[in-house]
Amino acid sequence: MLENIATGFEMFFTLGNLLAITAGVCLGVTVGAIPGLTATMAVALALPFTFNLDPVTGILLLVGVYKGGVFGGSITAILIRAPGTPAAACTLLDGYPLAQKGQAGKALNMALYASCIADFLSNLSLIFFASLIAGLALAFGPPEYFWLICFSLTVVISISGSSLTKGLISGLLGLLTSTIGLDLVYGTQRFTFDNFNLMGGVSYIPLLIGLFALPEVIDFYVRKVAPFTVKTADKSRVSLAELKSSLVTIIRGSFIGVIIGTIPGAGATAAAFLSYGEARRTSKSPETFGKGNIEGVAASEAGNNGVAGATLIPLLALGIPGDVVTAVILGAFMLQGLTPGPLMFQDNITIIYAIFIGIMLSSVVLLGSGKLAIRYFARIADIPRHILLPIVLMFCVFGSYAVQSQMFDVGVMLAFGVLGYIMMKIDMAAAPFLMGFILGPLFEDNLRRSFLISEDITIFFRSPICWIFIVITILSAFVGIRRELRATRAKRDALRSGSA
Amino acid sequence: MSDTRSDTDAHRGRRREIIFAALTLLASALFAFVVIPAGVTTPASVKHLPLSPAFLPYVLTAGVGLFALIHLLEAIFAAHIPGEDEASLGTHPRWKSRVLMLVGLLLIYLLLPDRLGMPLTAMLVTIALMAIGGERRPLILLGVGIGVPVLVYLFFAHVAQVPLPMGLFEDWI
Repeated sequence: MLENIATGFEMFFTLGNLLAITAGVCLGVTVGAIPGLTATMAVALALPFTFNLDPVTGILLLVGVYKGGVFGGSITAILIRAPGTPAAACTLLDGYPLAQKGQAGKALNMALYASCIADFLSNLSLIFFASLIAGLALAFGPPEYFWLICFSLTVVISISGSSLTKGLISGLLGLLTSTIGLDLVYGTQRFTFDNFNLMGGVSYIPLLIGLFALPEVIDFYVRKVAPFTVKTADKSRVSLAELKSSLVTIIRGSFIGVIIGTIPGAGATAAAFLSYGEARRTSKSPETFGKGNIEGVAASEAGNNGVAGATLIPLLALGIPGDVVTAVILGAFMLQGLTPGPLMFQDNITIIYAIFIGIMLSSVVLLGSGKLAIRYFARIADIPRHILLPIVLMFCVFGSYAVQSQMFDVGVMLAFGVLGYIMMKIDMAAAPFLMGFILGPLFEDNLRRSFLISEDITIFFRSPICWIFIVITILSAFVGIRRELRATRAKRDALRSGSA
Repeated sequence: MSDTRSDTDAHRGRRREIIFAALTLLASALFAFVVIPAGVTTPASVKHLPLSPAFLPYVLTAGVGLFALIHLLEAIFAAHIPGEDEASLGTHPRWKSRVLMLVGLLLIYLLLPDRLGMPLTAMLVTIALMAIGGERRPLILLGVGIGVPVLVYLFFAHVAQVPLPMGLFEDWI
């Protein structure tokens, strides 16, 4: 084994590999920071460059792009409320309010530290627990997935904002929007009204951009006196005390990310919101979440970056891609003549070790390139709003168009932008809508697949995993609702005593 | 004086919540009785209710209706808690004309790229929006309004390989 590790080190430590990781992370951070261009798109763009590279160099380039892309999404989420990637949508809940308070630097740095720590822990999990966790993930069938999604949906309670009922309505509307398109089982039309563009459902990137970025643009032109700049004053940094106090949140979020990332299809967005919900639930001051709590930024970034390494677990251990990015990476492996899975651990163990070493190093590279990116990207927030917002709108339009190269997606973005603005005005949180929309297809797919396996309802209670998720779903919903009701009662009492 | 104003605000806020809940209830009823039957095709071969394509939309619509009803009762009987936005800045004195212009420019973004091309459309809209926002310096208007769209176009078209519509410039490019 030691001999194999030594060969792995020898195989990894080449200038080409180091350059590939660095270039990959830098490209990923840049592309991830642009609304509309996702980590998936960045990995797909980088794929042709791997054709003529060594297997290890090629794979590390893609892994670097992926990891950089996941972090990069948080930069614009914090600075201009336009998440670069769907997973960063949760980061804006507290990141953007911090930027408005002139603490963009602090929010960005916390996002980076949380991302790097989570990434590191995720990589360690990949190296030490790959086969164990992958085995656990294999025990997940449709009923287990269904309960996992139910549990994830309870987060809607935590991100409902000032009104629980409005938050729940928002989440249900998101779920309802996700049903648009061709039916998953019968292939019949649902709310498409013969519109060809809607057959595949509503694209989530235009929806995401519209829901979060466009309302800020509209609001600027409607308000009486809009602040011309976000006050960066950007000398704000994360203090050691703040990092220490957020460490538990980061570690918990990282492991949530690892678990979610291991399960194919669950995704970084769900992990970010789950981690955020847990951080808010266990916080001593949950009322400050959504108003610029630095722990909120740490939690969501730890959640989504914890997924990055873990999604490689089912890929490397079982040969199963957990999401679209790992499917592209699987393609890269195959182009190099390698087949991920148990056999690869026997036949190409030195390559596996070399990749593991490179993946560990990518966390360090992410820290360096992230620091550099923050230094330059943070200046975006100094641009006067009347100049910045037209540029943001331009990115929204270009980014939405880029998804499928069709103007219909620009229309979707504008429509959801108007919806997002209305939601902002009526004090209805948009985050539950997004959560419902992203988890909706998984929820319905697994519900119906379970019924296809067995028409008996007992299939939903068939295994210990089901029961574990049923119990934590009920507990999470109960605790969340009780806390929200208490908070509402406290606000009403305060209002009454204020008016008395 | 301030007590009277906060009472009026609370009354207005309560009324707004009641209207929101009532409209949501109405919309959910409309959805259940008109939109779902018209918009969801259910095959005759469906044996089990949860397998029907209309099952989840009906359940979700019922959920929306239920929570809207709870919100309505809450708005009528419980004390109103002012939302974040109620305490925020008021609207711009010329907000109606500004919104109209914004809507017009958003429509330009939606309808003109196929004819004018994406870069030219972006330039026109960006310059117009900056001018509406209060920018009067020609150097900034033209420099940012032309330079940034060109750079963004170059990035999307040549780095990200997105085939953007070029409209008038299709043949020229």
